Amino acid sequence: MIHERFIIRNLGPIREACLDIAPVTVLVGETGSGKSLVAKTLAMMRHVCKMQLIRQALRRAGLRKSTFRLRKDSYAKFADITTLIKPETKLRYSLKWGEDEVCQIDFPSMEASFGPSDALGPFIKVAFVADSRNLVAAWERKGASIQSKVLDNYFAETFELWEAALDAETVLDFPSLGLSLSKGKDNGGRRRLELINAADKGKTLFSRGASGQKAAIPVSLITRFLATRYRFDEAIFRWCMDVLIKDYAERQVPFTEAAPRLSNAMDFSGRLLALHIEEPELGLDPKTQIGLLETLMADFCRAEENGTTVRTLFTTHSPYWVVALNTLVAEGKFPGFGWGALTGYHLTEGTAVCIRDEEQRLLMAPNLDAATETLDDRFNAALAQELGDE
Amino acid sequence: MNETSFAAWCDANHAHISERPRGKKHTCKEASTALTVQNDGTREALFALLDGGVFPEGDCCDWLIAETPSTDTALGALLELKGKDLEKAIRQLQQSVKRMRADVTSGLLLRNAVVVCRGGPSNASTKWQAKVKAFHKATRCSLSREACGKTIPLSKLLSFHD
Repeated sequence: MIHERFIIRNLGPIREACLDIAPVTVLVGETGSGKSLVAKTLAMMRHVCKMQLIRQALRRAGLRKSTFRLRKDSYAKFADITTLIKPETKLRYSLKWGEDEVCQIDFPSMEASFGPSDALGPFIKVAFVADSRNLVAAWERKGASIQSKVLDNYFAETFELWEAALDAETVLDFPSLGLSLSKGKDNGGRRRLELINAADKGKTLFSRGASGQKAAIPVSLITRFLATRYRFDEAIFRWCMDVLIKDYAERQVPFTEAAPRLSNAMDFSGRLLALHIEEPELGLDPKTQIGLLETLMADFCRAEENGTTVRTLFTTHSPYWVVALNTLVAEGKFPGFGWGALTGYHLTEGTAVCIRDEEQRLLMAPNLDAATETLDDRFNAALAQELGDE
Repeated sequence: MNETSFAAWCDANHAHISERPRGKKHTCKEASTALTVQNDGTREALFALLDGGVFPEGDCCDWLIAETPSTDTALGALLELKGKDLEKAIRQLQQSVKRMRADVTSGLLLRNAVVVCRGGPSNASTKWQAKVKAFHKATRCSLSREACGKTIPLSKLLSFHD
């Protein structure tokens, strides 16, 4: 069982926040309250933790000098938090697995501490989907905007997954959207995506699709790919080998000895898939939002069946998303996704307030409820006045 | 403890009960709030006025809507028509479930409670979900909300939600 805790002190709008991460974690809050910041910094800390665990594996393999160095400034830049860091800023991410195995990462000191056991932690894969609509544009222009400062390394990693997911599938159904996606080539030999509407069999080019489709399809395609086809162990070994080959070639040192040693040292105690999706409801009507959530949950369950621990983080402004999560938990439709697997935080006044109602076994979203209630009250008051005026 | 069947309860309170055969409608009204129910079932439906009718005093909801008594257990639903005070409406429904279950010991199965009210949280809110859950926990009845002035089929009122 994997436990994750993330503590943020004095970063941007956040004064102090402590988050215990569940298999499904939802962040709600007003615009500018720090939801995206928490998501970005958590992705960053998970990435640092991953790098620390890889370095630990390399040390075990006797490969002390490698290109896997921790670059604090780059991480802060990629997570877009450079300007938010104050002298008193502190981030702490702790990952616990097994009995007393633990890996604790501090930022900005970048110090890592490990438990008494020498066991390697789980291999972490972070996929960060900030604005999935950009994925389609980036895919079409073949990485033109990947170099943009707006897109961070997590996003770039997600872009690669989007490409890999597209390569893995030729036709895909999205029942929640009533669409099928197929890929092919146009007359000029350029790759293109087509969306086929199941109802009228009409085809539209993906690039001309509605914004909701552009957001929902990449997200569900990536999760399905990660859930079913992505091989964590092979990917990490391949990645390490690529880097080491390059590194050794530059230093003109033979690396033939490194491969078997590395292979033996890469003894990760499981796989942790961390998927962060910002505002998955973007451009989708309520019914489709619920359909997308069900599609994603089905894929996460599939990943869990494959022996991967899944941690999903959503930031949302949609009341339907939270209500639908409560409903899925109550229904018990997805094995492994019960009350214990769901948590949420309301980011407000510089802190994170847990929104789990233990008695009712519900996530409560006070800010989302308040918004609709205020509108209801205003509408009813207007109605009463209209009737009174008559 | 005295055993009271639903049929006996209906006989005793026939002055406050109206019946509607299959296909007919009945409008339940309270001040400016109303809900029309169309009997789309196979049996006759009865509409019993509880507040100020069957129960002249005490806290209770406005209507009991149920199938007419027969050899099978009749399904029933309680209805509260309220202007704005959702909290009070839910409290009255909860009280009515208790009173009805105390008065009728056999032949009636209360599964749903319906509130028609303009105030309170939206249906797509976690606050409403919490109210539904608390109501279900206290009464083992489902709680739902309908819009004022709407016509709904009886089957929807009497359907099982769990």
